[in-house]
Amino acid sequence: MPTVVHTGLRILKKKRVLALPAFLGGVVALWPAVAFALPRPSWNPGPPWAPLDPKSGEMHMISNLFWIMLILSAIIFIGVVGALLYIITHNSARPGDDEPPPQLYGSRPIEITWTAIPFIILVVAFGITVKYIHDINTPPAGSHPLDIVAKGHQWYWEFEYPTLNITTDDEVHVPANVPLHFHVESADVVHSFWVPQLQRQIDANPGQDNAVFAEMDTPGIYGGMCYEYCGDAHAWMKFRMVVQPKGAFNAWAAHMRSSANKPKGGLALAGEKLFMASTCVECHTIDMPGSKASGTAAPNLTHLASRWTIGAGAARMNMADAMGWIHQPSHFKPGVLMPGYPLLSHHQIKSLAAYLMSLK
Amino acid sequence: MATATITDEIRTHPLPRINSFEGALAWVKTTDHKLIGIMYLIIVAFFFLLGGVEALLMRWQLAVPQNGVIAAHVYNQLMTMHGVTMIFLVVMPALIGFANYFVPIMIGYRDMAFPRLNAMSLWLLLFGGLLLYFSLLQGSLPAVGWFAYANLWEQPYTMDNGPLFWAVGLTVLGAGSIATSLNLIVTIIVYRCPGMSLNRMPLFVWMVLVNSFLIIWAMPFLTADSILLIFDRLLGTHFFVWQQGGNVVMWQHLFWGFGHPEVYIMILPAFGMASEIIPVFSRKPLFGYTFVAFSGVAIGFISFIVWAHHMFTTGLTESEQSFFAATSMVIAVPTGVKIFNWIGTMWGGKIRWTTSMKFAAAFIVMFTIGGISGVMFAVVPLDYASSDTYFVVAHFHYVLFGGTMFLLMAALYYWFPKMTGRMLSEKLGTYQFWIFFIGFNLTFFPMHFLVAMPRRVYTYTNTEWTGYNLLATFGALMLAVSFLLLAYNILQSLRRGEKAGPNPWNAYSLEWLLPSPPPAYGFVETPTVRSRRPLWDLAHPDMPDWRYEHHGTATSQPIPAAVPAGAATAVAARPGAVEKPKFSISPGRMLVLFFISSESIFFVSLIVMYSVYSFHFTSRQLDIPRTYWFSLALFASSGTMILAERFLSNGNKRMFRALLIGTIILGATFLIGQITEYAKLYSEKTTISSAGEFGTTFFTLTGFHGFHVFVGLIALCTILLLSRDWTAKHDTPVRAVGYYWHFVDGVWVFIFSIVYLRTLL
Repeated sequence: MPTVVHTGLRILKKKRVLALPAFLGGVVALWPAVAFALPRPSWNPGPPWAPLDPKSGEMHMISNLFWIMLILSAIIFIGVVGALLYIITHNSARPGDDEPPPQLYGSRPIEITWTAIPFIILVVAFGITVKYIHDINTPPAGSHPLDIVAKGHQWYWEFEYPTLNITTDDEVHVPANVPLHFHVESADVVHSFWVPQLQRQIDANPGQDNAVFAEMDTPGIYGGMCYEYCGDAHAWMKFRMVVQPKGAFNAWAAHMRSSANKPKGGLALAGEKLFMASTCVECHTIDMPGSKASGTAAPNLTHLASRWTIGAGAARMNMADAMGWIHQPSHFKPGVLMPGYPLLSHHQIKSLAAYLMSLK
Repeated sequence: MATATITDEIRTHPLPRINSFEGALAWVKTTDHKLIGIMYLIIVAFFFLLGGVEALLMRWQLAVPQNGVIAAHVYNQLMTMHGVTMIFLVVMPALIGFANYFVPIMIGYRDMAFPRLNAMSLWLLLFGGLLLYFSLLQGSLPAVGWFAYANLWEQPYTMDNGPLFWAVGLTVLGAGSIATSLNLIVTIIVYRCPGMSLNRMPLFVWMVLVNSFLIIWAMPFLTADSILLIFDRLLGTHFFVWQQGGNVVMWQHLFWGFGHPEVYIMILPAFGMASEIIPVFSRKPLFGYTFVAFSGVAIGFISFIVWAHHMFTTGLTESEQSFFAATSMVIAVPTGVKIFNWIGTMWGGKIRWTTSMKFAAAFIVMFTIGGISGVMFAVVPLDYASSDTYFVVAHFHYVLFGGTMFLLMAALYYWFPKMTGRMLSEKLGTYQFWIFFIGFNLTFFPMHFLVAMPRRVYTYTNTEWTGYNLLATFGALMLAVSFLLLAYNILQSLRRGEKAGPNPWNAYSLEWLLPSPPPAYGFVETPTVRSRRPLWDLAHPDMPDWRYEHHGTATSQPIPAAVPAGAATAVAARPGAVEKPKFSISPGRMLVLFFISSESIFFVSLIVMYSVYSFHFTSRQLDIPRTYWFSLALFASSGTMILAERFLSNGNKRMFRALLIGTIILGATFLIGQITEYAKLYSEKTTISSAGEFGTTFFTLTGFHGFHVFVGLIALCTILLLSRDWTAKHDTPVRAVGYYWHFVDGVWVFIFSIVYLRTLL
């Protein structure tokens, strides 16, 4: 037995040079199988998120600054790599050459030069930085921005338009080419509010009102989410910003102010009855005359079906996902605070989902 | 007799074998800095395996969108523990381990200043790390991120006790690293061999010295944060309960007050390694020694005033943002100077491309990338658009992995022969280097393009991010392979590696004088040095460094006509050329002084918390005159302590002990005063958890001071018990405890002014 092991080791030792590439090849071959284990159907609820494709004046400034810095960085990087390449080609020891090279201990002029030059570059960069900090964080003079309160919750964003008397969640509509003032707040822990193409990132600290000013220049739909780790469902704290021409925005605002649709179909009507009689109303609000649903611990459902997803990006806005969500929300969004209702019958869940899907 | 000989051999053998009980025991109970250094590295390897597996699991989950390998809560635990493990249980102890092993022998001494304290630090590391992982037994590892931002760890946002394990574990680890840093500081200041002035110290020793100061002055901020976390969770204080007046942003200020110096704590000794390795393999002295050393000192100082650049999205004012932008840019200058000097060192050299040198040269490029993206964050608006994205992940992995990890590899290949007496295989090393280099860049370079992908998400849906994530996952696997290869290389080398001999690289510093591995007792004869490269002087008596290196420095040594021949006893220059530095205070007292400087940072944190919160509460009516009388007792006790020390040094033992008892009585009087004041406040229903921030901050601040008085009293009582036969010779412990006692009294001056006297205004 020991001889076998010994021989095996010796062969391995001899073939070591071959063994390594073989091992690497094996890893490469097996790896896709490993990486794709248990994939779930992939879907993308948001448009491409590209801070370097800016759609607001503020993000234009940031992306310009980025390109300037990138060019500066590239120059420094190429300098360092070029020096190293020169060293590799010219200063490598030749075999058998035992003579030490000239012993150079340093040079004060050189030291001062390469201390001073970066310093001067950074002084310039600092000047630009200070100007941009000011410009990005200052609203245009004399403008009357539209106030929007963006409030982070575990784990969804609530949007309130105090002057328009609207409260909604998960989806913020804004008029294009109108100065905006976002008041960023938190209802529980620290979140961070960012739509990469539209404005700077800002933290939502509980007990503090942070401000972001921006004016969006291109209508469209832009993805955003929470960027500060805020607990288990941090990955599902998405929202989208819909930038609309003024007319379309006003129409949306009027719709949001209206009270909830009264369901017409029998199933949806049964769903409404069940909803209003259940614990749903403790956490959710549905605005309509005589509504019992006025909870504020969870998203406002008045116009739920007009939004893009259920659960801040976790599930699609359709009958099947709505039913799945009511049955067990944590299946879509691990850590979500809403409990599942596995004891409801299939019919009950179907009627609730039908009701929710009617809340256009 | 045979047994005795074997035991003796085990005790003095450089590397006792662990296959016997005696041998294993020799490792466990050792106070030898070399064995402790090796054990640091073994513990690091263990935790690195954990941290690496955590990273691989995360990369597996993130390889494709909506992957279902790891559940969200598990991912968040992995993400937290990967950070905590790599920072506190891998990078820091790896650097400290190398420092432990090499600092004493690089300065020509045989051990650390306080060998038993050194052993304690090692075991605090092991048990602190295990404590963190034991949290698994209560249901969940900490899942609040390594930075544990308030108030996510408050109930009800986190119901399990993971955050408490985080806080206690980091406090234990912090205590260990503070202890070892104090030890290193005293060792470096006091025990340098004759001739080794500060401007001849190896750069690694320089950077360890700076680093140790960073640790003792930065760690207390983290300790303060951890203590406040524990109080919030267990005592019902509300430092970070915003509904009751707490301020969550203060957590971030304290945390990054620690966290930014920490960034440099994790890189400075590695810079020192680069400054050792690059000259040796370029066969030249380090270019611009003074500039490299002082840029390290500059980085150390500036690193304390850049913390808020981690908080540019928190909502700081414009002037605060500008200030921290300026400091963050300034700190790039000394860092750049270092890079230029390493290139200057290689320039015109005759470079031997050993594995170690390959890692060191690759480090320069990798660190440049990380440094440049770091400067980008100092341009604040770019931080607005990249904070908490994968661009940041790319940046700090280029700094920490591309910087420190590459240099740890370089240092391992460089110093492994010294530590074990065996060479690592250069062939396997070259394979490892290329797999490591390509794997690292495949993992982290694509992350630069994920500039909108948020950090710390367990999954994502954006398909345009898939390609980069796939690449990163593949790179991570390559990195894993390269570490397996390293492990194989180490095991092979230990079994049948080529014998190293004392100085396989023709290196320059004193550790290479010793046999490999060095004997337990270190140097037979204390070496004397005359230049920065003592072994170069030995090898090249015709052109010794001390004749040339002092250009630009104020030394004007006469050039001797005849050059002394290098003696076999490893005396690198004429003995007695320079006197060993002498200090008027003993190492023990020096240790206590530096410890006090660390403690005062802790009190600064608590006083800042009190001051910030005190703007928002109306102070309870405090009995100032009464507290004033009790304070006088405390201040008087400092006087009696000074007199006691005087009498001891004059040999008046009776008066010494009488005054010591007087000090204890006065200190106890103060404590009784504090206890009665607490009792009165409690009877008025003002407790540490009562509404408003007064109780929370008042009891925490004064309570910690009271605790320090109590500890001081225990120390005084211990001296009283031990000092029956003490003479003037024993003044070190008395003076050391005296320093501590005066410090406690001094702190009370600030607390009394801020908490009590200010209410008179």
